Amino acid sequence: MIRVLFLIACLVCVTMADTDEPAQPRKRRRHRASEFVYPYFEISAGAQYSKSKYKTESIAHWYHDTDRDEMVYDKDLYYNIYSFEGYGPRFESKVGILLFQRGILFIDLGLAWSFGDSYYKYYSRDKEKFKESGGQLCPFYGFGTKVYPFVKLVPLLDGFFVGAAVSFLVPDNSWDKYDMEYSPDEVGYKFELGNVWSVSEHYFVGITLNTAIYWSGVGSNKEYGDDEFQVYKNSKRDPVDEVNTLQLGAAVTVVRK
Amino acid sequence: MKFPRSKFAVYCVLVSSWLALCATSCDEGEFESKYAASICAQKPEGVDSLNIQVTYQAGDSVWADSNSTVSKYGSFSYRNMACVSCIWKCDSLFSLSSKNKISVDLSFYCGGKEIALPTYAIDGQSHRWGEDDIDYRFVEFDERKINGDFVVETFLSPDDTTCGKFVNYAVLRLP
Repeated sequence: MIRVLFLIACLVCVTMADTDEPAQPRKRRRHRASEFVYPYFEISAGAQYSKSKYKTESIAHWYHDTDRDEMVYDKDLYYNIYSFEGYGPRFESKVGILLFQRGILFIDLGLAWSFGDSYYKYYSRDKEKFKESGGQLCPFYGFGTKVYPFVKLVPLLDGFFVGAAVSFLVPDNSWDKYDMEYSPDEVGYKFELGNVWSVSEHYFVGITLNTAIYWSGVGSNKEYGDDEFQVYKNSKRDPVDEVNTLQLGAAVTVVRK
Repeated sequence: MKFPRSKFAVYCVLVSSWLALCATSCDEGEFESKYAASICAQKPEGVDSLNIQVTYQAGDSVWADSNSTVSKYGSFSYRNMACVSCIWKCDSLFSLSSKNKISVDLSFYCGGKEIALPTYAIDGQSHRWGEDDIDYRFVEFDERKINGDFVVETFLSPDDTTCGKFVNYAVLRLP
């Protein structure tokens, strides 16, 4: 009897020991950042059309007509008028991170060379304007995002992408020569779309269409004009509500992701 | 001689009171000029020199001052400017009457000849300047070369055009 009781006690102990033991948690698979964050590189080479326009609205509206030697009041008077239109090659590189095979955060750096004619005019009523022909070397830089929305969803559009960036442009011109006090840089937005096709596991080649709009780096007359009265040079600048530079381009793009 | 402590305390109180009274009377407002006027004229490139005479009249009180510039090749703009200002005297002049008159007479000199411009009168009764500064500039007007806030009041051209018509010689009021 004692033996039977001892056996029962042992079985109970074993049973309790078995049930008390906490269930082993499932060994969850650990995800490392390197599994969904990848480095991203891109270079593009192509051509672009560029158009720039600057003018400052007169506050006084008085124009000295030197032909008739009289003062003329013109409510639509502008001064320091500059325009450029040209074409040229464009190179751009992007470095960033690819997230979940779909989204990219990048910084970019590029160089555009536009060949065309620049026109400088002191006042809108002036008959005389100055023309300068040649190339303009305009570096640009910025940061932005790019998305491959159809990756692994629509096979035909696997390499389709759209992107947007904040961009800074350093225009090249002869403003100093003509005493035009404009900001030496421009800020704007750059948009792009295109498609790349796989050529190996990590390399893709495709085309990119892009457009960019820029405004003068500083704002309106009233905000940025120097208040101190001086008879030397007017530092008042262009109105804010005008797009100063427009770019349209197409490029061959090589992507490493 | 021993100075009694109580007397010393009274002395201190008196000195402190006097200092406090002085500080109150020396308040900033006492020395701040209520009115100030600065009137400058730029010598045009086509003339040898310029003379500006400003006459301030408040009631029966008249004060006139003049200045001239002969710089022909000034590198900087201020070298071609002749200014008249009444920073300290304006208060005593203008407080006499609200009907103040300020007139500006300009003359250009070229080839030994004096060319007088029409007298420009600044309306002293106007509420526009009240107790504010009166700032006027007489310049050859080219908006591309003039910096700062200004209002074009009128253009002053001489009747005698021997030295030039100077149709762009403007009167600018600085607000």
